[in-house]
Amino acid sequence: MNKWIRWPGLIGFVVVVASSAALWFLFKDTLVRRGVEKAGTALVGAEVDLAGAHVSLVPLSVTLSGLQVTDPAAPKTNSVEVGRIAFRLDSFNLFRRKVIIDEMAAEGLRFNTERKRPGRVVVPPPKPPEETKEPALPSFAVPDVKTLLQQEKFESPALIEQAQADIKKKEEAWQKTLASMPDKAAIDAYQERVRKLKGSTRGGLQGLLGGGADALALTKDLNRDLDKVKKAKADFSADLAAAKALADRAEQSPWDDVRRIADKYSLSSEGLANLSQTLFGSAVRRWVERGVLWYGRLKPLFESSGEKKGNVQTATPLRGTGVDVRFKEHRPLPDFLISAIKASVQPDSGSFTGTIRNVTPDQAVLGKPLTMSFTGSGMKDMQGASINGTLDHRKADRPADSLEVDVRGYRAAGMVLSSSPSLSVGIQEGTMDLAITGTRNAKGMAARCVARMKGAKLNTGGDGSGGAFGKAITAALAKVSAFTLTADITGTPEDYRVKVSSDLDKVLKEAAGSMVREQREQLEKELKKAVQEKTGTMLAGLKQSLGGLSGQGDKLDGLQERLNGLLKDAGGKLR
Amino acid sequence: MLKMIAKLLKVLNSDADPLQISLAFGFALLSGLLGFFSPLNLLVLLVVFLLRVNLSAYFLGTTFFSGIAYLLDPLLHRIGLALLTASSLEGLWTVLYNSTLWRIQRFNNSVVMGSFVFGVVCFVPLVLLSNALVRKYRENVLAWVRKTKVMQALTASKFYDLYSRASGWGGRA
Repeated sequence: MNKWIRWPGLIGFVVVVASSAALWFLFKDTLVRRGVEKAGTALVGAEVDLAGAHVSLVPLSVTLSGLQVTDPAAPKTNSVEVGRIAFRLDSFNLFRRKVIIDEMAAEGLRFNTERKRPGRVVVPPPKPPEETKEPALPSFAVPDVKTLLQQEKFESPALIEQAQADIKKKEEAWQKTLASMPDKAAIDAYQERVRKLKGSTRGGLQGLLGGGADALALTKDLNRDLDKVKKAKADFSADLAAAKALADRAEQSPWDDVRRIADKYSLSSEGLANLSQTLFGSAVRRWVERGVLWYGRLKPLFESSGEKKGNVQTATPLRGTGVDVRFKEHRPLPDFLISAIKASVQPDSGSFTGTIRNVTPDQAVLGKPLTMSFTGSGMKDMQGASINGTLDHRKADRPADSLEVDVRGYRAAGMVLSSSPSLSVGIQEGTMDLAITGTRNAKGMAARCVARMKGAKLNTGGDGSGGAFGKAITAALAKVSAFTLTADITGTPEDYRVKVSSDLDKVLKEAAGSMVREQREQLEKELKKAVQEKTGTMLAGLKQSLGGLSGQGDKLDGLQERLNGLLKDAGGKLR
Repeated sequence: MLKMIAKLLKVLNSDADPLQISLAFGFALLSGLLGFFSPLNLLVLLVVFLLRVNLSAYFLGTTFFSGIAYLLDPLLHRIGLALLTASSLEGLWTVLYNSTLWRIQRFNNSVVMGSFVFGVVCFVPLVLLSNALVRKYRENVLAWVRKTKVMQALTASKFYDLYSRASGWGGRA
């Protein structure tokens, strides 16, 4: 037996284990600090730094200091910085690999602080789509008509040419039809027969009887030709009406061209009606983008990535490889839970505190959603604020999130509303009341943000590419002291629309309306002149063709009149 | 790499019982797959220290199999997941899941379970195979290896001298 047992090995084992434990004890703070940095970086997708960590074993508690979370969208700044985080861990459950924290205190929260060096971004935020880039203000300068005429295709010449060809065709067709109608020789023959009938009355009874039969035959022939002419006239009327409509359209087409090109190259009143969307849409979209980015990055903290496999649930662990398979527990408890985080921002004056409850990816196990409630008052930059929200992911396929933000008297000095190169707009001074309400469910998200600005002084700038239009807008904005900006966000976190409206639209429209009208009138005048030069001769030709077609109608009228006269004469004889 | 080969040759060329070396490889497989700092590995380590297995071969093997484990992770995950989600075993896993002792082992992780099962299943074949190989090596290749320059340099070194003196620990029967 002793051949295989090495009793001194037991001492060796104890030495190895004790050395490992001693090493862990010596370096536990460093290990925790590095663990937090690594896990935080993986979660946020950008560098997370921790100045220090202290682990106390009895009772098991951790204190973290100087936590800095790099903003993935702006690596030179920290999106959040926390002075001190302290919490106590449930050591028994830690053996069961469950991180249960009853209460966590986070003190000295600061947002958007500058970093000493840019943070590393592991997962860059998605690039904004083209439409979200800063739009340039529409230019007020009247475009060069000669250039426009080269760039734009006039549709009217082709239309006029086509109309003229159609009318010509009709005229030729009617010329052929008229040729098949009774001509001069036929009319003369009818006249001869009428004259003969008149002579037959002088031939006694026999002459009278013979004349009656001829009169009947003549009337029949005349009626037949007259019916033919009448039918042709009816057809001609319809043809002429169609030709006139065609000619009207062709005559109108140059002005349609003028309107179309003018609409394209000048500002319409519809375009002016929502200038706030053009000016402020991008800024609002950027704020929404940040919100959606953080919602996505922090999702693993409140939504499990697990899936059901038979009767058991599998979940990807926050750290490590493989998947953790979860079985039914006698006393179900989430793998990770912070029952309450009491956070306090340290403003220069006043207070801003709040509580976040039930932070766990296993809301279904806990049976409670994540809730947050923050209130602030008497602060330097705002009179008061409240944030209330719920992230309910207890049913993974039916999330129900809601958020309400109410900020009163926020000093918005320095806030950028538009960074468009042609016209930037910022708030120099003024106070803002902000109300945000938003919901998100399985179908999508809907949010409304209403910002009411009072005592505002707006500063504007730009590269001058806005021209006179930009100047008019700048002048109008300089007079604005109060306005309301409303942003409606609808869609899904992946694909959403931002609609911005404001009472500023009316001010901006009034300021630029007369300039826009003048610009359009000038453009239309020049376009009309150009189009008249192009289509004047063609339109004259069209009118001539229409006159030619009408002439065919006159001929039909004349023929009908003559046949009617002959019929009258023949009828008189018959009576 | 050369150092590793030299160490391996040293172990193979020593007077250690082939079974001590092959057992060391078997336990190294378990330790390498489970991870040196896993709770279950403490038990393996205790056995390794208590049984008269070759420690050099064990530590060498652990290093080797730790590297192999990274490559085998996808396979081990699939094996573990298949076992953990097998409905016939659900009752057993549920009982273990509710026991703190087993939860410490993190048995419900697919890679841990896959590594453990793969290690246990391969333990006996690996011990038998490596035992046979060591014996064959000593019978057929050892004389040639002893003549190689690497081996001559190693045996002439001071370290080898120290090692030879302490090799009672290293597994001499």
